[in-house]
Amino acid sequence: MSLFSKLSRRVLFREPQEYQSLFESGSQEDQQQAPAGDRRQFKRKKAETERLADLINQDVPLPTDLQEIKQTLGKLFRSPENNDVVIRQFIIGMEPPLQALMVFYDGLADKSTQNMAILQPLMFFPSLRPDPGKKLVDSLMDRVAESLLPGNEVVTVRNYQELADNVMNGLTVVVVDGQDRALAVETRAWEHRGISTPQVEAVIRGPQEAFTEQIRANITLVRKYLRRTSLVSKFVKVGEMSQAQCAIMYLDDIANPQLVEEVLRRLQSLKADFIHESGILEQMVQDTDTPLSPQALSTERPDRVAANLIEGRVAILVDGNPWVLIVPTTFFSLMQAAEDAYIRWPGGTFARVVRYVGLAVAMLLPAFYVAAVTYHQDFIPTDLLLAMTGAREAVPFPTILEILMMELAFELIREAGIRIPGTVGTTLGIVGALILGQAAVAANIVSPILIVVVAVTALGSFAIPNYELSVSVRMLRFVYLLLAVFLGLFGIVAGLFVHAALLVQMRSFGVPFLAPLTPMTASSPDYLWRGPVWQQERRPDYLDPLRSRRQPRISRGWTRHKRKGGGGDGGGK
Amino acid sequence: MSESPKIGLREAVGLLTIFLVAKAFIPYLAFIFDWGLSGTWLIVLAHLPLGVVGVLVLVWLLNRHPGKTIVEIGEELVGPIPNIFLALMLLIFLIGLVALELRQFGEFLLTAFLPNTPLSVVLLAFMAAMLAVAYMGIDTLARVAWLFFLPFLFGVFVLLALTANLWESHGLYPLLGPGPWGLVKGVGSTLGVGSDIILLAIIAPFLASGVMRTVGLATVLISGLTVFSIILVTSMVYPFPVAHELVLPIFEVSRAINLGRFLVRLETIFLPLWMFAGLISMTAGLYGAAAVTARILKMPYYRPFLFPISVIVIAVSFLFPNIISAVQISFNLLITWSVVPVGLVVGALLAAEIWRSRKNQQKGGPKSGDGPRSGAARGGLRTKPSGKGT
Repeated sequence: MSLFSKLSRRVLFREPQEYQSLFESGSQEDQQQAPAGDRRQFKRKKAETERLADLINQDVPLPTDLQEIKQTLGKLFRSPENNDVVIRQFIIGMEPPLQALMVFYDGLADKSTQNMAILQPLMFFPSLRPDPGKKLVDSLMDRVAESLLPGNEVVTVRNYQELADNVMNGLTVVVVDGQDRALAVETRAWEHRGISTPQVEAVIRGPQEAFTEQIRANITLVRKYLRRTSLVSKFVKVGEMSQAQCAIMYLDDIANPQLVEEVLRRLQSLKADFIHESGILEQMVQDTDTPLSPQALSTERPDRVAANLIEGRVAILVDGNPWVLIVPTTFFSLMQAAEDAYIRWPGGTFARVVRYVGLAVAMLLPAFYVAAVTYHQDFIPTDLLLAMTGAREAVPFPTILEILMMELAFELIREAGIRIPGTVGTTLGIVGALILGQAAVAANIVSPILIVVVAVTALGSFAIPNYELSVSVRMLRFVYLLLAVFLGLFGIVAGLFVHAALLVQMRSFGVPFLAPLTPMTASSPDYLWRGPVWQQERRPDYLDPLRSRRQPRISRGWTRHKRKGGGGDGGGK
Repeated sequence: MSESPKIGLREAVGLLTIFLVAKAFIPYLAFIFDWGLSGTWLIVLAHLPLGVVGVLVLVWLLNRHPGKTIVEIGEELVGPIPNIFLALMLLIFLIGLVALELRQFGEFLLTAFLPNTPLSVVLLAFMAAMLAVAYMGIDTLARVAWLFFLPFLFGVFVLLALTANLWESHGLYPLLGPGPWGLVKGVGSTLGVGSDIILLAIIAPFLASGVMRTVGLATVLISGLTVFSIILVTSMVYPFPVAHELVLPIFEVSRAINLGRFLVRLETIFLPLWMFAGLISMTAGLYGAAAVTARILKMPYYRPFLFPISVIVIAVSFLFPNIISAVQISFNLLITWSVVPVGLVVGALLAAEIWRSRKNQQKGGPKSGDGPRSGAARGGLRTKPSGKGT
């Protein structure tokens, strides 16, 4: 700990210097008062947990003695205190009979599969013969796996770490006396939510499926859209105390191998306790910690993941989470919605323009209002100025205070509406906003035009398709408000200047955040506006994919070749 | 932050063009009407071919020493001691340019939009934004300039087009203004309009090979045509001598827009464009001054010099008692006489380069820029852009 840290802890936070060590061993006071037996128990417990952790971390191989394994498993899974784990001993009905046990978590494993695929065949129908010239004991586990266990996935387990991993993932591990290997049989069957419609990224035209909390189901959903043998899903475990199963998906014949390598490198280098949500994972792998914008695209739509994978991006899935990260991303990707591609290009372009206007309004409209009313009244046309002045005449507060009150009230309504469940929340939000606004105007706390400004601002923020980007914009709105109140329009311009520079400097997995606009790189017409589908000929150059062209110049073959036979309109033989 | 900045062709053109054109939004360019009268637009038009020649000369010199700024080229060609004087001239020019532009942009803002705000607050706010972006690096600034470049040009030409109903061609007569000799004197006395192109010699190491000529020519042509259009339209909207009385020509032109009851007071819409252009231009100048200082002191980082130079710039900008003296001195120093230090620097280096080339040719040895006389072999000189901060 540096001198500055020590000083700050002592002076600012009044922490004693021995805080950390005392936290681990108990405070001096506690140590003086606690009986010696408690201290010995604490140390004993700590030593035991470290020994058990070493079993896992140091790849200790399985011994051959079944009783030893059973005792160790009991300690490892904290049985019998832990009522979830089941260690069931049984006898394999061979001549001579063999002792065996199976270990699994109750609730994660499917009982009927265990009965049909493990217990019945082993207990009632074992008929194993050794290979010619060999003893049965030498190839027992192979023969058991090949002949007796009809489960669709049987994996060999050689050490305690693999055993624990498989049990925690819902498999049932079978251990046989005298063997240094165990078998893990696929019996996963925990309760989960079915595939439903997207909650946030709803579209009118387009698929209505969303990801679920099951990583396997999510991978399947993506494979349903992208039927290519080159679609790779690579599993990575992330986390130290509790390892979360993550997967990266990419198209091996399109994605830049360096990008894939970088994604894997970042994931594999993470050392954190518990990364169970894609939002936490995103914060751990993003390039810069900036509140300006997210640097990964999170989506709940498998069609969107498929579309991004075919461009050469990489998807990161986290088990237990229905949001998938797509990297790298750019500002323009964050402003796209899935529906842009599904409707004709003028509609897609129009929708995109509306979104950009919404973004500008959400970020700058309150600031412009404050600047115009406070500093630049001559900017406003005279009639409008007279109307605004008349409306503001009875309001006792300065404009900045008005707008801060209403903005904060609106943010409170928004947050409260999320917390209150069901339709009550939605109704309460609408009614609250209406009544609050109307009452505030009637009480001359705010002017009517301010209600319009705040409402339009809120609508603008809802037009932003990416939730995290809209949160960033909501926060930045207050920064621009402060700049406007001190320096008027010039403050807004100076803020935009620095903001633009910060955005230009941002990167997402090495890709400049404002690509392909700056630096200008080759791309299909799909960033500021949505071009026609038949003109989407190139993959984004900033991804440097293995195949840059996605479709030929003439992708609609029917436009080139006329139909054979038949004359003009209505003609014929 | 940029570890090894790279500037693309478009970014470089955007940055340099805005650096050259930004002066059209502040008062001192209006003094050009004193020389050209009704033929001021001809003076600006005449600057174009001269600018092309000048940039080609500069590019030739830079291409002989790839990967080096003008300070490093000077050290190689004339030696360290004379180079310090040349580099100091450049530094003084850049500091003066930024300080005078800062004062004028600040006064412009106060006059037009923030009459009750103290000047110091405005200048400090400008400087804070400039410092923040200059710190991020020249490639960041260049990308911001490119981002803004097309809307900027579009905004300028839309503004000029919106005054079409006010154009009066008699404002251009007599066509030759003060006469041919007066125009020649005017052209000669206002050559400093293009001195800012020296920034190309500072960002040269960060450009891709082979694009420098394109960057230089595109910059001169686009900026020349833009300034020409501004002067031409101003002359048609406010014929001389009215144009001579304008403090802020383009602001007055935008205020003159009147296309109906609602399409008035459109200067508000153009204010962000001008402010952005001013911020980019002054940030580029601030970066240039810091980079030249770093090269003089042979330091790999320019960032430590940003704050001290910004203090000097603020101090210089406050030297002038009022805007009129600031504008007058700006015109004299920057428009009329800045061609001297910049011309001296480039001219001296050019002469040294030519002399050395001939000497090497006579000896039958390698040309300047390669072989044992190059900076790398001398040691202590960087021939490539440094890894950090430049």
